[in-house]
Amino acid sequence: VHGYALIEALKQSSGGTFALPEGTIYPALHRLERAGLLSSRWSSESGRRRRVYKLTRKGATALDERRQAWKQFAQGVDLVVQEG
Amino acid sequence: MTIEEYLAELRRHLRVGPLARRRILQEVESHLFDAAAREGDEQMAVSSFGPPDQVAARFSHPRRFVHLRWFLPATGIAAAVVIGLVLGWQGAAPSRPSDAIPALAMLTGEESESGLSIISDLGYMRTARAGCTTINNASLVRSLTFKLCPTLIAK
Repeated sequence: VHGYALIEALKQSSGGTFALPEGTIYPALHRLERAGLLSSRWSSESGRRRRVYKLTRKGATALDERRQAWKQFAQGVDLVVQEG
Repeated sequence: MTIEEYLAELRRHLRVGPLARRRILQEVESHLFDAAAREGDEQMAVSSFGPPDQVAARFSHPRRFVHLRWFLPATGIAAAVVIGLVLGWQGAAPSRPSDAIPALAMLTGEESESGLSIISDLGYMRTARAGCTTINNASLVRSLTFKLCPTLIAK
C-alpha cells in the first residue's frame, strides 16, 4: 500500500476519527522502515511512481504484540469506566 | 503555493542525506499530485500536507542522536585507554576505586565528583556503588558496560 492510500484507508476505517495531517504519515513510515518493521519499493501505476510499503515478518510480529497489548489496555479501560 | 513551490520549500528545510532527500521529495510529489487530482484543488492538497518546515523537521534525523551515536563509542574507547594507562602505571588493579575514576569522569565531561567504571565480561575490573545509571554500549564493544556513577568517589 502507498502512503496516500494508507491515509485514505485510515480515514475511512476509523469513520473519520483518524484524519491525520497528511505530512505526518510519511515520516512515520520512514521510521518504521528504518526499524525493520516495513519494507518499501517503487511501483508504477497509471504512469505515476509511488512508494509502496509492505509489512515485514518482524513488523507482523510487532503488530500482533501491539494488538494484544492494545486489547488488554482497552479491556482494562472499559472495566474501569463502564457504568453501573 | 503550487506543488512545485511546496517541494522547493520542503527541499530547503530537509536535513537528510542526498538519497533520502530525493526519495522524500519524489514520494511527497507523488502524494500531492494524487491529492490534487482527487480533490481537484492543488492549493488544498498542499495545505493539507502541512507547513513544509514542519514536515521537513519530522523527516530529519535529530542531530543530537547522531552526536550521541559517536560520542558514546568515542568516550568508551577513551575511557578504556585511560583506565589501561592508569592501571598499568599503578602496577596492579587497586581494590577500591582510585583517583582514576574521577579523572575518567572529567574526561567524559561529567562533573569532577562523578565516577565512571567499566565492567567487562572477562571479569570484574573495578567496583562501583549500586544504583548507578547504566548505559549498555552494545554497538561498540559488546563486552563493555559503562556505568556513570554520580556519587562514586574514591575516598
